[in-house]
Amino acid sequence: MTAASLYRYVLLRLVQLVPVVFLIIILNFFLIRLAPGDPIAYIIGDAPIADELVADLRSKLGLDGSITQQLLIYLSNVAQGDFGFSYVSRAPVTEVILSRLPATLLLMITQYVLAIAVGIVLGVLSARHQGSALDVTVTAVSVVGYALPVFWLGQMLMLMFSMKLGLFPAQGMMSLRYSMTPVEKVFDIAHHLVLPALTLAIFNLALIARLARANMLQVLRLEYIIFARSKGISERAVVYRHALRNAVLPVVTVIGLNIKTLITGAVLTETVFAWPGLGRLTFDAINARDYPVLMAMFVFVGILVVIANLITDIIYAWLDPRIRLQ
Amino acid sequence: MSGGKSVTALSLLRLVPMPGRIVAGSITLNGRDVSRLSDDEMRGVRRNEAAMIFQDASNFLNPIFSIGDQIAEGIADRFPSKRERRAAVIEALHSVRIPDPERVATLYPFQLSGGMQQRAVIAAATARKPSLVIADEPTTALDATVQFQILRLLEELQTEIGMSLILISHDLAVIASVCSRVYVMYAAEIVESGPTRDIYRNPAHPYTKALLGSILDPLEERKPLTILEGAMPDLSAPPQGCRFHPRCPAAMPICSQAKPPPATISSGHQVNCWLHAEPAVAA
Ligand code: SF4
Repeated sequence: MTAASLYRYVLLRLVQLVPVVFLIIILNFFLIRLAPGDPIAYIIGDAPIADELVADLRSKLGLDGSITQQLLIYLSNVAQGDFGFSYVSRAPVTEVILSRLPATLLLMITQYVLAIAVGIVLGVLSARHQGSALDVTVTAVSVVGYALPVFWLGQMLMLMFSMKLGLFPAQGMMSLRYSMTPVEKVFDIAHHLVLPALTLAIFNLALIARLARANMLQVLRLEYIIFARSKGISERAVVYRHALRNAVLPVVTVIGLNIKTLITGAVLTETVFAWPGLGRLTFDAINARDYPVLMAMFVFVGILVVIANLITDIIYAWLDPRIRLQ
Repeated sequence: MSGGKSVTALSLLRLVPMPGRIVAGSITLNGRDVSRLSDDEMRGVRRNEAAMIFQDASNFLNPIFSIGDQIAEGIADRFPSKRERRAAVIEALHSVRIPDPERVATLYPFQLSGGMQQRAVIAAATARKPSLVIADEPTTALDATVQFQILRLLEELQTEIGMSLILISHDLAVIASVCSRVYVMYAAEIVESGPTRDIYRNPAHPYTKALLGSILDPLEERKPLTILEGAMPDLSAPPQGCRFHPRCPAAMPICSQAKPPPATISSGHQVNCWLHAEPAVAA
C-alpha cells in the first residue's frame, strides 16, 4: 500500500517534470537570441568576404531559417546532448560540463550530508534540553553561521587551518603527486575536501539546526505527543519516532527550496578553493565570455534544480502520507 | 491545552507538558502514589494500568503514522511477534466497533471521520485492557449521534474489559447518562462529590446549584436560567478562603477568610461549603 502509493506519486511527478524542462530549454534559446549582434558579423569581422560565402556560413550554422526552424534545430541538438563547443577549450560543451560534474557533486553531497546530519542532531538535542548550555551555544553559533558570507568564511577557514595551522590544503582537489595508490588518492581527495565542504556546510548546518530546533519544540508540545506518551512507550520512541519525523518535514521543504542557492555557493566556494567543479567552470566562463558553456550551464542548472525539487518532493511524500495519498 | 479540568486529567498520568508540574497533592492509583513514581515506573503505569482518551481525537493521532501502527506500538512488548501484534490490533479495532478493521488499520488519521478517529484513539487506549481509563471530554468535538455512540461504546467497554472510567466533562447530560459518581470541580478544587442521583436531585453547593440551573429545560419554557456573575478566577492567584466566594450568591463573611471544611450531606455525598459546615467546626 505504502510502496504502491509512493510509486504512483513519483511517476506522476516525473510526468509533470517534462514540460518544465522543456520550458527551461526554450527560455534559454530565447535568452541567446536576446543577445545583441549577428553571430555571423562577429565571426567574419572586417574581412571582405563574398556574399555567397556569407550565405553558405549562415546555412552551415543553421542561422538561415526562420526563428521556429532555429528553435527546432536547437531543441534537437539539446535533445542529443549537443551544446556546441567551448570558445576557450574547443572541446564539446557537454564533455566539459560532465568532466566537472563529479567534483561538484562530491562537494555538494558531502556538505549536505554533513549539514543535515549534524544540523538535525544539534537541533533536536538543543530542543530536548532547552535553555541548557548546549542549547544556548547552538543557538548563538547558528545565528552567526547563518549570517556569515560564504566567501569570507572560506577565506578565514583557509587562513586559519591551512596557512596558519597547515592542517589542510588550501587549493585544488588533489595533490600534484604522481604514483598514488587508489587508497592514498581517496584520502588525498578527502583531505582537500574538508575546508570547502565545511565552508558550504556551516551555512546550511546553521539553518537546519535552527529550523529543527524550532520545529521540534513546537511538535513536542502537540497533543499527539501527549497521546504517544500516554501509551507508556519509551521517551526515546516519543521523541525520535513521533516528534522527529514530524519536525523534519518543514526542514525537508526548506532544504529543497534552498537547493538553488547551492549554485551560488558552489561558484563562491569553488573559486576560493580552486575546486575544479562546475562553480569554478561557470566563474571562468563568465570571465572568458565563453557563451556556449554559460548557456549550457543555464540549462544544466535549471534541470538540476528541477531534479532536486523532485527528490525533495519524493522524500516529503515518503515521510508524509497526507501528500502521498492525496 | 487549557482549563483546569484538562490539566487535572493530564496530571493524573503525569502528562502535563513542560514546564508544567505537579506542585501539591497526591494521586493514588491502585494503592501507589503516582506523583512519587520514577519516570520509568510511570511509563509502566501508563502501559499497564491507566490509559487516556482525549477531546479532539484528530489532534491526538499522529498524522503521519497509520492507525494500525499507532495502536501496535502501545502493545509491542506484550506481543513481540509481528503476526500476533497485528491480530491484537485488528481485535482492538474490532472491539471499538470499527467496521472492516483490517483495512482501517492501514489507513492514516486524515482518512477517517471524527467519530472513527475517536474510536481509533479508544482502541489504542484500551488495547492493553487498562484498569482505568480517563476520558477528557471525549465527545465534545463530535456530532450528537456520534457522541451517543461513543458514550455507549465506553459504557460497553467498561463491562467488557472491567475498567473504571473517569469522565471529565462540562456536559451535564453526558455525565448524568454515563457516571455513577460525580465530583464537581471549581477553580481546580473538588467542591462537591456524591452519587450522581444525589448530586442532580439534591445539590448542596451553590456552584453545583448554579451549574444545574444553567440547563435549559424544554418542558419548562418559562423557568428562568441561573446565570453566574463574574469569570473564572486566575488559578495562579486564586481567591482566599472559598475559591467561589467572589461569585457566590450565598457568600458570608467567613467565606473569604477560611477554606470551608468538608461536610457530609448523606452517605457518600460530601460538600465543601460553609453553608453546610457543622457548627462545631464553623466556630
Ligand atoms: S463557602 Fe461560602 S462562598 Fe463558598 S460556596 Fe459556600 S457559601 Fe458560597
